[in-house]
Amino acid sequence: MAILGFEITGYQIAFVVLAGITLGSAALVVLMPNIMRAALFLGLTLLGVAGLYVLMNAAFLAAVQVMIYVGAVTTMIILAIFLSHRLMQVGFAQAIHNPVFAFAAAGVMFIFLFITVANSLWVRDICAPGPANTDVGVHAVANALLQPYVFPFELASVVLLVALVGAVVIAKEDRPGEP
Amino acid sequence: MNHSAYGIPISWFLTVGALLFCIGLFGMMVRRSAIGMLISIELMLNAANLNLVAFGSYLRQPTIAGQVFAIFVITLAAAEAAIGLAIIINIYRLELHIEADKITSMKL
Amino acid sequence: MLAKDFLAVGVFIIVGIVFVAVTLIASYLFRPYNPSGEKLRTYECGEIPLGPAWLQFRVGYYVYALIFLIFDVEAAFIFPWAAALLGFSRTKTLAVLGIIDMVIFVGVLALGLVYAWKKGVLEWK
Repeated sequence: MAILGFEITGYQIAFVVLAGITLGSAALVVLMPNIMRAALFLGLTLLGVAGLYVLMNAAFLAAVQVMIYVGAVTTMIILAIFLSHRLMQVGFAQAIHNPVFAFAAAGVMFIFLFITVANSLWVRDICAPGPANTDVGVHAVANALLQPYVFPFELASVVLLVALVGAVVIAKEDRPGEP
Repeated sequence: MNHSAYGIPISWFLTVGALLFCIGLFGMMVRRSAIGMLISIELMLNAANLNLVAFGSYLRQPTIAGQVFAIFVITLAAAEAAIGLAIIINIYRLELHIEADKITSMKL
Repeated sequence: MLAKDFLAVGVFIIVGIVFVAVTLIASYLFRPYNPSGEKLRTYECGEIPLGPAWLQFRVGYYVYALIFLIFDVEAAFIFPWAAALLGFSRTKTLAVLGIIDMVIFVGVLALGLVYAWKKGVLEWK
C-alpha cells in the first residue's frame, strides 16, 4: 500500500502502533503521580512489548510475556501497592523528584544508544533485513531448553525455589490479625 | 533459513528498546517510592529483552537463544519482583513509608 | 506461528476497543444525568460501603500472590516441554531424559510449596 508516495507495509503500521502504545504508556508509567495508575500502565507497556515480540515471529515468547509479566508480575506489584500505600493521592512534586536533571541524563544516554544503533556497521553486517521467517515456536524453545540449556533450566527452578522461600520468610505475618 | 521482508529493519526495534531503557532509567531516577523504582526496573528489563529477541531473530543465522535468554530474564524478573516486593512490604511494616531516600531501618 | 497469523488477534483487539467505546459513548449520549449523593456512592451489592476502597490490605494476601507467581513461571516452562514431549518419543533416551529433567524441575519447586505449607502461610486465618 502506498501512502504519500511511500510504500508502507501492514507490518510497519503494526510496528508503529505497537511501539507507540509501548512507549506512550511507558512514559505514563514514569510520570503518573499515582503509583496505582502507573502500575496499570505498566501492564499496557508489557502488552505492547508482547505485540513487538509477535512482530519478530516470537509468538511463544509473547505468550510467556502476557502470562508471567502481565498476568502475574503486574498483579504482584498492584497487590504490593495495596499493602504498602495508605495514601494513594499524592501530588506530582511529591512523587516525581528532580525530573529535569533525570530527563537530561536519560536523554544523553538515549543519544549515545541511538548513535550506536544508527551508525554501527556490525549491526548491518550481521543482521538480515527482516526477522527469521521460520516458525520458531514452542518446539524449538523446548528443544533448546532441554538440550543445550538444560542446566540453566534446572537452575531456574532453584532460583524460583529460593525466591519463594525467601519471600515467604520475609513477608510472613508474625502475629495473625495484625497488618 | 530465509528471512521475511516486513520492511522493518532491526534498527527500529533497537531504537524502541533504547527509548524504553531510557524511560526506565528516567523513572528510576525520579521516583521516590521503592515500588516506583521497581516498576522502572521492569521497564529496563523489557528493553533488554527486546534487544535480545531482536538479535536472535534478525541474525543471518537466526538463533533461538535470544528467546530462551529472554525467558530466563523473565523468570529472574519474576523472582526479583517477588523478593523485592516482599522486602518493600516488610520495610513498610517497620517504617510505615517506602520512600527510598528516607529508609533507615536497614542500617546496622 | 508467524506474525501474519496474528492478524485475527489484531482485528479482535480493534473490534473490542471499538465496541466498548461505541457502547460507552452511546450510553453517555442517551442517558439522563442528574446525580445525587446516594447514586454516586460505590455500589457494593446493596451494602453501604465503609470507608474508601483504596486502603491498606492484610499482608497474608501477598503470600498467595507470590505462590501464584512462582507456579505461573513454572507453567511457562512446563508448557513447551509438554508440547514437545511427543516429538521426543522418536528416540527413547531423549524422552526419558526429558521426563527426568522435568521431574527434577517440578520436584525442586514442590519443595518450596511444602515449605510454605509447613510454615502455615497457606492457612486462611
